[in-house]
Formats: sequence, C-alpha cells, structure tokens
Amino acid sequence: MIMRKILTITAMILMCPVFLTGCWDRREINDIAFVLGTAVDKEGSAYRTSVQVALPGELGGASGKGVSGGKGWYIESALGKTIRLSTSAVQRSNSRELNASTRRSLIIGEELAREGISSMLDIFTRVPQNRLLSVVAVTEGPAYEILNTDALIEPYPSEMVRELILSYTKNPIRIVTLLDELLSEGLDVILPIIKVDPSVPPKVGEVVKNISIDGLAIFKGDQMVGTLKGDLARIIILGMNQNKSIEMTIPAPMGEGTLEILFRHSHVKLVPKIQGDDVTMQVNMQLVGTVTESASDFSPTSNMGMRKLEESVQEKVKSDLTKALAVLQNQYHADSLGFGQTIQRKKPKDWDRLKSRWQDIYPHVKVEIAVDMHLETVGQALEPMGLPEEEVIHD
Amino acid sequence: MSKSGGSQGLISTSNMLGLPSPPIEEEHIQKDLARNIEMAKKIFSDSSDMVYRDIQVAQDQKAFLFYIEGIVDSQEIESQMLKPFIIGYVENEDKKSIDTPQNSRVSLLQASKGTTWGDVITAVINASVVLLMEGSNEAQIFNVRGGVRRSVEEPQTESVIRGPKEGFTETIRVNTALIRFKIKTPKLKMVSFVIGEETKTDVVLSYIDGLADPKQIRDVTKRLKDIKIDGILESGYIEELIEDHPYSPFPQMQYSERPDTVAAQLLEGSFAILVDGTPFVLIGPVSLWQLMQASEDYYERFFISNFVRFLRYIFVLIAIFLPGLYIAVLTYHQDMLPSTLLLSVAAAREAIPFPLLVEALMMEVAFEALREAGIRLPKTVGQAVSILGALVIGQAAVEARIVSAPMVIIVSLTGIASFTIPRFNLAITVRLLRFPLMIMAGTLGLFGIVITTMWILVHLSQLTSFGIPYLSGISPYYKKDQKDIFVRAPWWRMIHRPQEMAKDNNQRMKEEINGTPKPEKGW
Repeated sequence: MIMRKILTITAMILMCPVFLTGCWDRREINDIAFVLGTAVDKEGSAYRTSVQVALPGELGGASGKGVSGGKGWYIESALGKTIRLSTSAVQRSNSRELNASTRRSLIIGEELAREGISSMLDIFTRVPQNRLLSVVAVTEGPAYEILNTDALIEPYPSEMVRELILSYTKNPIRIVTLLDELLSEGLDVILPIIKVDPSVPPKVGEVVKNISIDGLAIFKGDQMVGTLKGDLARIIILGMNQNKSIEMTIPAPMGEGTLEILFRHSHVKLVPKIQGDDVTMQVNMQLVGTVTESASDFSPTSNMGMRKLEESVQEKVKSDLTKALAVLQNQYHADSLGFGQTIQRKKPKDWDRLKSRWQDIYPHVKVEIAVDMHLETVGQALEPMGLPEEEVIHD
Repeated sequence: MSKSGGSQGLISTSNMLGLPSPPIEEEHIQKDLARNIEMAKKIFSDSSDMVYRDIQVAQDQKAFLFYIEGIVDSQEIESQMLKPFIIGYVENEDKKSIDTPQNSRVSLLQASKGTTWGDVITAVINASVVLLMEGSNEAQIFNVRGGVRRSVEEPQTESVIRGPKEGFTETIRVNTALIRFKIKTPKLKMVSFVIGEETKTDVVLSYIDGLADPKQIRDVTKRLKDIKIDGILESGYIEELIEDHPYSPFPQMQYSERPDTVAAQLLEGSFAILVDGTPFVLIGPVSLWQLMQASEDYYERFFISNFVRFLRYIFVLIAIFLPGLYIAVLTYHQDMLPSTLLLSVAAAREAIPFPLLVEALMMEVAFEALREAGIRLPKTVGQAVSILGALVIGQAAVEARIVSAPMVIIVSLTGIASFTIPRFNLAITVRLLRFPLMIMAGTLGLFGIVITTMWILVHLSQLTSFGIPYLSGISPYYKKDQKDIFVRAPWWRMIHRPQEMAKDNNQRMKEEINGTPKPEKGW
C-alpha cells in the first residue's frame, strides 16, 4: 500500500512539469511570418536582404480571396553589414517571427554574385529552419525587383521563380546542389538568370510585370564572370545534359526556310582522352527530337528526308556547341560542363597530376563532339501545310 | 456487495415462524400437503406473478402445483399437466392415489425430484413447475421454460454483407443451440455456472475439448467460480470481474453477437462465455490483432479482405495519431509541412481566436458528445442531433471563424477512422487514447507523441489476456501467425491455428489444398 502511494505521488510530481511549464517553444501558426522568397543584394559594402512574406489572411482561406482583395504577400527589406544583420533588421520591424522553412527561391543580385557567393551561403544553411531545397537564381541588376513583380498566374512571385526554374533544367540548382557544386573539384557553377518581363508591350494594354528566364550566369569559382544568353545558353544546357525541353532552329537541308526541332530526350556522355598534358574531351550526345514547326518547303516525310534533317541537326548542334564551349573556355575560363570533374571521376590518377594546373590546361582542352540525332516523329502534319503539292521539295 | 446477503431474506422467514433456524433451504418437505402449501405461499409471499393451483388427483389425494407466470410455458402446463390429471381423475375408475405422476400422467420431458425447499425454490425461479402431492415428501419438478423472449434476429452491432444473418438472443439456451448448430461435435463443451446471489444468472463456459488449453479452462473456471456478486445483468460484468489487467484501457476479451464469430474463435482454441439475458457472448483470450478482424474478412475473397484489412490498420493509426500529429506539427514543427499546405492551413487559422490545442480539444470533445447523444437518443431524434451537429459545428463554427476548416476535416476524419475498427471495445480505447496523445502533442510536440506512443507500446507488450500475450504473433513473433495478422491469407494457406492457442492440436488442415487443376494428379 505504501509503495503504491509513493508511486502515485511520484507519478503526480512527474506529471506536474508537463503542465506547469506550459508549452516551452510553442509557436502558434499565427505568430509566424512565412518567408516565401529572399532576395540578397550588395549595396556598397552593405548587404540588402529583401524577404517576401506571406499574408495568410489575404491568401484566401475558408472564404475565398482575402477581404481587401489585395496581394497575398508583401516585401520587407533592410540593409546590414552581414546578411544576418540585415535579416535581423527585417525581423525587428515584423511582429511575427520570420520562418524560412517555406522559402521557395533565393535570388541573388548581380553585384553580389560577381563579388562571390560562398560567404553568404552560410546563413542559408546554419539555421535549421532554412529550406535547403529552395531554388537559386541570379538577376542582372537588383534582385529585389523580382520579388516585386505581379506574377499573376501564381499566388506569389517567388513561387513563379521556382516553377520557372524547375521547368528550365533537368536538375534545377537548389541551395544544397549549389553548395555541393561549389565544393566539388573541376566543376564551375551555372545559375539561371531571371528578369522582370512585361507581359505585353505597352501599346497592347495594361502591362503586368512578369518574370522570365533570360539565360545563364557563368560562375568561376564562387564569382559570377559573365552571362550566356539565347541560343548559346540553350546549347550549353543541352551540353550539360540538363535539357528538359529545348528547341532549336535548323535550316532546311533542302529548299528554303527553317524547321524547329524539340529535343524530347537527350543524353550526354563525356569521355576524356589524356596524353600527357594534352586533354581531349569527347562529347557524345544522343538526342531524340520531333519537328514542331516547319517554316520551309522541305518535306521530311521520306526516310531519306528524315535522315537529311537529322544530319543538319547534328551539324547545327555540333557547330553551336563548339562556339559556346569556345566562349566558356577562352572568354570565361569556366569549366561549366565539368570536364575536370569527369577526369577526376574517370581518370583519377591523371586528375591528381593535372589538378594543380587545371586552370591553365582547361582553355586548351580539345573538344570532339559526336552527335547522334534520332528524329522520332514529324508531328501531326507530314508535308509542310499551306503549300501546294508541287511546291514542296521532296528528297 | 454483501457476501452473505443471498440467503438473509429466507432466514428471516424461518425466524418469523418462530423456529430455531436451520435455513429454510435445508428444510425438508413434509408429507402434510396443507403445511407445504402454507410454506410455499410464505416463501413466495407478495409475488403477484405466482400461480397456485389445486388438483384432485384421486378420491383421497390432492395435489398442488405452483409456478411463476410469464417465465414458463403456460400452454404446455395446461395441456401436459392439468389435462392429464383431470382426464385421469375422470376416467380412472378405481380412483387410486398415485406416487409417480411423471410416469403415469405428466408427459413433460424434463422431470426431476426435490426433497428440500431449497430445491423447490431453485426450480421455481428457474421456470419450473413444482407439483406437491398429498402424502409425498418429494416435490415433483417439471421444467417448462417458456415465456416471451426476443427471437433470433439479425445482429444489430455487427452487420455483414456476406455471412450468416442470425444473431444471439437474450435466451441462453437459444444461444448455446446457435453454437451447436455450427459445431456438431460432442467435443464442444458447455459447462454451466450459476452466478449472482440474487439473479442466479445462467452462465455457460463453452470450449472445444482438445483445442482449448485445459490449463486455461481450469483457470477460467476458477475465476468464474470465484465471482461473488448479487447480480449479473450483462456479460460486461463478467468481463470486468475476470480480466487479467483491470486497469488497462485495452479490452482483454472480445464480445460478439454473432454465432459464427464465436464458432470461429472456438475452432481456434478460444473459449466463450455465454450469459443468460444478453446477446453478447464473451470470447477469450484475445490478441490486439484479433480485435482488428471482422467476420466478413473470412467470407469474402482474400483480395478484398486484405485490402480492407490494410485500410483498417491505416485508419487505426489515423484515429490514434492524426489529431496529435496535427497539433504537434502546427504548433512546433511548422517546417515539416509542404509550404503550400502550410500556407493554406495558416490562411484558414489566421482569424481563429484559440490556440490549436484548445481548438482541437474543443472539437474532439464536441464530436464525442455528438456521438454519445446520437446513440442515447431515440432513433428519430438522433437524426436531428446529427444534422444539428453537422450544421452547427461543421459549418457555422467555421464561418464564424471560431474553429478552422482544417480542424473540422481532422476531427471528422478521425471520427470516421475510429468507426472502421470492427470491434467497438477497441474503438473506444482508441478514442480515449487520442486525448492524452493530443495533450502530450500540444505540450511537447512530436517528442510528446513519441513518448506517449512508447508508453502505449510498452503497456501493450506487457499486457496479457488469460495469460496469452496481447501482441501474440508479432511479439512474441510467430512466423505461422503472419497469415492472419496484417494480411488475410487465402483459406487454403491457413493451415495452422494461432500458435499461442490450441498448442496440442495446431493443424487446421492436413496440407495446402486448393482447387487449381493439377494435371499430374489426373485432373
């Protein structure tokens, strides 16, 4: 009996702390400010952190859209000596605790990117609430401008940034992958460039500020050294084996005009050949594509026609990639395709030898490109539509 | 509970007669009929349902019969007892007295004799007719149990789509018969007990000899015999009086209204306890897994049974953990939710005045109250309650921004989940357990949930039901039992009975049989 009493009392005493202390680190969901996206810029010697904070009340809960029908978010921005200090400054003017676990994207301003991104990445990993899966993008000019776009199609702009980047490449760069790539040998980082893009020319009507991807930011080490845009950017993505839905304009092999080819699948394999300090990199590309438009009088319906079209694609990819790689090798000295990494993985002994001089060797690496193009289908229409039969050029 | 209270009333009767007390039960019946009649009327005084009847048996012999109306079959008495006596008296020329009416007159099946008043009392209250003859110091007892009782109907609490539609009734003889209909072997034993000093309730312990563990049967017999209580009105009394761990929230016996369920358990080596006056038959020992099985699992083809069983296990987890997890994640670990989900929950909760834990407790308690009200109220009103509940709590509360819509979803999902548990007594346990879980989740977050879960698991693994581990099959692990715990193997694979039960006779069938054509065997 006494044992039992002692046990009961002990149990009661043990239960007390649970109820007495209340709930130590309880944070009700309406005491939190959800950070949707962060833009970091460098202004002089100070960092500017701009956060996009969700306004859940406006995001529309049980009763549809918010009361005032306003935006579901707002932006707060502050300057500080470090990013942490500037974030603290933002926090000081916010009654709710900033929680970065919902951050969709991290946008880096050009000025900061050119100065180096290694040191700033620390803050995005040290606090456990940070989402390492946020996608990363670079802007030309200040990054906060992106946050303040309309992006009507998504609930908030940073979500749009994320969706755009996810559809841009096969393995979009997130904070984790960025860190990984920064730290790996023989590989230079490439980040997508995003920009504010008016939805229509002003003469058409009311302009809505949209976001679009504008190319690639080439990094050397942790510093941005330049950009690649348009066709060059696309071909580099194809060469990086990151193709998701790249389209290319191919001159018609016979007749006049151009055809559009969409690469549905692609596979790129790098094969290093090393003789002393002579490095040759063989780029083997396997491409599968379809014709999406024929603005020509060439008919690819026959077997020979298909073959000829495939050959022109191969030619075009080869020459474009050579051109783009020349820019990377000679102008930016950035090993964005990871030639060094390929050597490190496939010929580790050679890499140990070349590693220290890789900076000098890289611009002189000879590139041999082999493209194996397979045209899967020409689409629903066979002959160029809209042309009379006799004007179509058959093979 | 007064342990000696049973016979006190009768002792005082004998004191009123001014006799030094041998208790009246032990008093013998006299040859003097008039005195016997006086005695009987004294014992059953103030009982308006007693029927007394004088009969002229022979010229110089009278008889007296009495019984309790309503619990006996009066028509039977009329045609098989009164009529033969009267006809016999009229037709009998010599008008000689008779000694043994059961041989010469009464054509009733169950007849016996009693010599003491105790025998007489027991007989009368158990729906027998007692016949006292002039000049005989023996009472003739005829069992004519009758009276109106519910007939065999479809069980209300365990309905099936496919399967037998008959359920137990309140009459124990009908219930034993329903089991006998299913298991036609003399090895099926029905050991009888009378429990309850005042109610004298018939209790039958049923098991299959050779399957049930004899040690266990001895143990249960002893536990049943040890019960000293004034009355047993439902099998629940017995359940609480004989279970291994009275303080555990988990049920240690299964109850069922279905003869097929009971028969199935008997065939696995369990025992059943039938109690007169209730259609609910107790089955023991049970394991947790057994309480997750519905009888239909075994009647439908095994594909759907497996799917349903899988669903059931998922929903049990939902019923226990969902409110707790919701509270823990939203008050402590917001970063665990996908951003878009988190934002829509945040949007819904933006204007809610209560902390999440309070909101959740409020809604869960309201739901429980609603459920309780729905059960207790007459069926016609019950519907009104559910409409009120759905409208008021489901809609108005959300629109008034007193509770959030996700909370309503969580509570209703939990409610639905708890109804998927086939055994109501386990469902009750699960419903109760989620309250400590919610409080722990609200105070300690996921740590609280983990602690509570460990606590439940530790408790479960030391729990026994009549000596059988509650998690038997998983802990201790038996490979052969896996066919019927999380999955339901096809019948032709269920060769063995559960390993903890029927240890001596474990084989259910000789070998794996199925109807697949086997050319090599000449099919």
